[in-house]
Amino acid sequence: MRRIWAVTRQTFIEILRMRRTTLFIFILAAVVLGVPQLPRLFNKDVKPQTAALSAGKPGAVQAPQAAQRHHVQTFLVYSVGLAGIILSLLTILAGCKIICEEQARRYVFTPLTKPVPRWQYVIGRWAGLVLFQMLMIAAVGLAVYGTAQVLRLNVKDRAERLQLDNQVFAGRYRSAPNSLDEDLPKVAAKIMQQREQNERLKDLSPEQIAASWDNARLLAREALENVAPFGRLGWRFTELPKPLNDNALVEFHFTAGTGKAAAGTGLKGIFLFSRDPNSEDAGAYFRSDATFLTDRDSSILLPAHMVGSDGRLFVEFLNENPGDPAATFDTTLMFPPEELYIIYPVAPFEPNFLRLLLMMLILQVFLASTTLLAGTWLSFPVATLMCLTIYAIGAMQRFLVEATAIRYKSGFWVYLGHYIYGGLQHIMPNFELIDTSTVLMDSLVVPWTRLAVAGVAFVGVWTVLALTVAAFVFTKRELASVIVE
Amino acid sequence: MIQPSEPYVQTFKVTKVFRDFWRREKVAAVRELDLEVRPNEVLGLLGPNGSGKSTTIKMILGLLYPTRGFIRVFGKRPTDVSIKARIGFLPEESYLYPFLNAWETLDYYGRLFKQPRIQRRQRVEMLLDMVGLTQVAYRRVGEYSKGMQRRIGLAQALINDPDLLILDEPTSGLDPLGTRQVKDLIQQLGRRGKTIVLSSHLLSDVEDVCQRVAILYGGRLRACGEVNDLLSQHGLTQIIAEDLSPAALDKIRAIAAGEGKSVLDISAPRQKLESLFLQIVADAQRERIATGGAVDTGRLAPFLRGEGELEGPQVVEQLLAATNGDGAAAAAQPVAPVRPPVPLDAELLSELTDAAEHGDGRKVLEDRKAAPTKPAKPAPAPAPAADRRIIDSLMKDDQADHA
Repeated sequence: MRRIWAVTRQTFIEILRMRRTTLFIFILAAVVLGVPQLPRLFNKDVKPQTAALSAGKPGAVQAPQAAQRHHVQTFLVYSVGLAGIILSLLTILAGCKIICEEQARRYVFTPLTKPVPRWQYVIGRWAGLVLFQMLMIAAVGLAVYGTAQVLRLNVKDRAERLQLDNQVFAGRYRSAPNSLDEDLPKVAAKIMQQREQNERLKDLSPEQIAASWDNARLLAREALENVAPFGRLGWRFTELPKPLNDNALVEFHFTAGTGKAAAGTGLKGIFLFSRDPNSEDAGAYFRSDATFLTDRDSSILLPAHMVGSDGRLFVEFLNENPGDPAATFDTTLMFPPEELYIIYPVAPFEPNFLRLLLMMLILQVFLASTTLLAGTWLSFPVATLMCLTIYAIGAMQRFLVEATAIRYKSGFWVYLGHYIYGGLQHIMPNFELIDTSTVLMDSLVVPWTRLAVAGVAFVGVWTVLALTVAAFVFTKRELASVIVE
Repeated sequence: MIQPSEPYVQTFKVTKVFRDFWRREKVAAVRELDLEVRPNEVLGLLGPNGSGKSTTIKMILGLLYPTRGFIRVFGKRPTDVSIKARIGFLPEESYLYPFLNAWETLDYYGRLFKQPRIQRRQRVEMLLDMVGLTQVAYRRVGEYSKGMQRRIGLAQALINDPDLLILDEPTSGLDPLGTRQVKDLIQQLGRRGKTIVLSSHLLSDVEDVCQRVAILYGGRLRACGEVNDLLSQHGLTQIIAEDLSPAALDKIRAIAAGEGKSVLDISAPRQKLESLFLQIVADAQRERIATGGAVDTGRLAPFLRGEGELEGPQVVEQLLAATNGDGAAAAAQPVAPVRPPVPLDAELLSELTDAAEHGDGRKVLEDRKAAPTKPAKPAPAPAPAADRRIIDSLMKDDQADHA
């Protein structure tokens, strides 16, 4: 252990004293603290008054506006995201340099003639790189957290501050209503049952009955997504965790469309929220007479107690004019299920932010082992290129898979890309597990289970494997070998 | 377990072939080399550039693997990590991390030997002092001149007080002073029973310090044996006398002719340029002329002389005694070398070079031998503050006592 620590310590000093490290630290400081402030400088509309208007009260429909909390959120997303990219580049460049350059310049001769096993040397090199990145991530975390707190304190308006604490400075849980796939067969079966009772299925051939089922499913989908004038549509959310505290606000998000009105057209309706409408002890209903815009994400704020102790919440929409129930109209509304969700705080910000930083560290640990693996047998430029490619493919995993999905009349290159990226997906760990930007975008809570899965995939499997291969290659290599032209 | 008489290093028909990118054999750097390095000897590996000296050394160290044949070092394979605790290696170029300073460099290598902190600190200080880099210990190695880098490279090779010291071109890049120091060091370590392999193409270096030489050419061993055996010119006699008159020289020629022999050469002996240079530098150092480079301290690190190193409590006691002004206490508990140290040669060297100018070199040597052994000195006055000075002064006294 003492020898590994000696190499770790020396590697840490080496990285710290590299010129490129100094350069990266300057860029990091500029990016983390400077760039996310730019929208704040250019967008003069963001004033406390505007923010106060958008803050609203529970029950009111929230329209997306440029509020101060969005700028704090933007700051968090960009600073952490860009810091992750910069630190990853630094890991790749520094990692490849320390292992490739010392072989090319033969510095490695001296330590390897000392009584240090080569596998310990590789582990020490890796640990030094990881130690350095741990400190960098800690520094970035402190800088980002401190700056975010300063920005938070600058928000003087009480309602805006409340929203900020609710939407940004918390770990939020997001849940979609029960799956349509779950409800659809039941509704379709009901339709078919009705048809059977009406003897409409009598004397039909099997093919015709199958076609009738298809039709029933289509109708069921319409029934579950569409709501006719004066009709009702409901959703249920189950297995919800307890809100963080009584002051937490539950956001119900939806997007409604008509299919004929232009986007942004004003609409009206009534939303009813309850813990369990069929129960005597349903608790207070919560009604929102909503005015909202077509094809735009809108949200309604609910008090925390609307999430029942059994973790259930029921939502019902009444397609009628809340101001004038007798008014006639013929607008059918569609609620795409993928746009429907609730989101609310379930965990404090600080521990969640810490878990987020751990996600960043997991990525750096993974990259450090990859650079070591490449550096033990490749030259600096080739090793760097290989690591950058792995990082880029990992970061753009979802995009690449979608871009190379095989469709009708796909060409040769699409097929080739599909199989290459498909193969890589099976080899490489799932980068979505450690994607900080999707987490920060909605201030989502990072559960420990997610972190554990990411840790096992990135560190437990890939890193151990990469370091084992790197140590094996390094042990077997002739370090003083020359290739004769 | 290696037997005491068994060679430290043995190569059996070792061949090393370097290949091209396509793995085709291109250059045979070493061919069927059979070589032994015996305990307690200083072996010189001689040969022109490209003769296979460095390749042989790298195979001994496990940095290269033989294409054919095999090597045993301390009875084990060169890749065995345990043997490396007993080896010190100075590569042909000082491959040192340029971002570390001299202190950090030696400290790092000390850590790789798992040396305790106190021992490591002591050794780093002693070695820096020995190679004359104490003044620039906190300058980055990348800023050092080549000679200074060689010195720090030598120091790192000695950090573990190795049984087998492998020096690849140790004097390359060194000034004559440094060269002399390295040669003195090799001789002193050799006297202490260390085994040294010295690779060089500077014949004078090898001749001065080695007992045995192996001469390589084209990757093959061309000659191997004792230096004296290889260099003795049988059938010639050399006479060195004080300045003789032409008449006396004629007499000598006549005597030789009477024996049926002829005198081949008569000339005035010249002082070696190395001796002259060392004399000038020694004079300058006596005048305390400042230099930004390495300084000749003329001291061998005490742990390399086989003296015991100070343990933590001993250092504390010494410091307390010194700061209390209790000179007697300091003297009553000397640092206690466990073995008699070898006296330093710098002073003797200086006297000899002085004497050579006056033609009485032999007399100086005789005088030193004839001088009665000095009685044990009374305790020296304690140094006022710095612990290094206390240790140094105690060391000097011990050396003087043993002299």
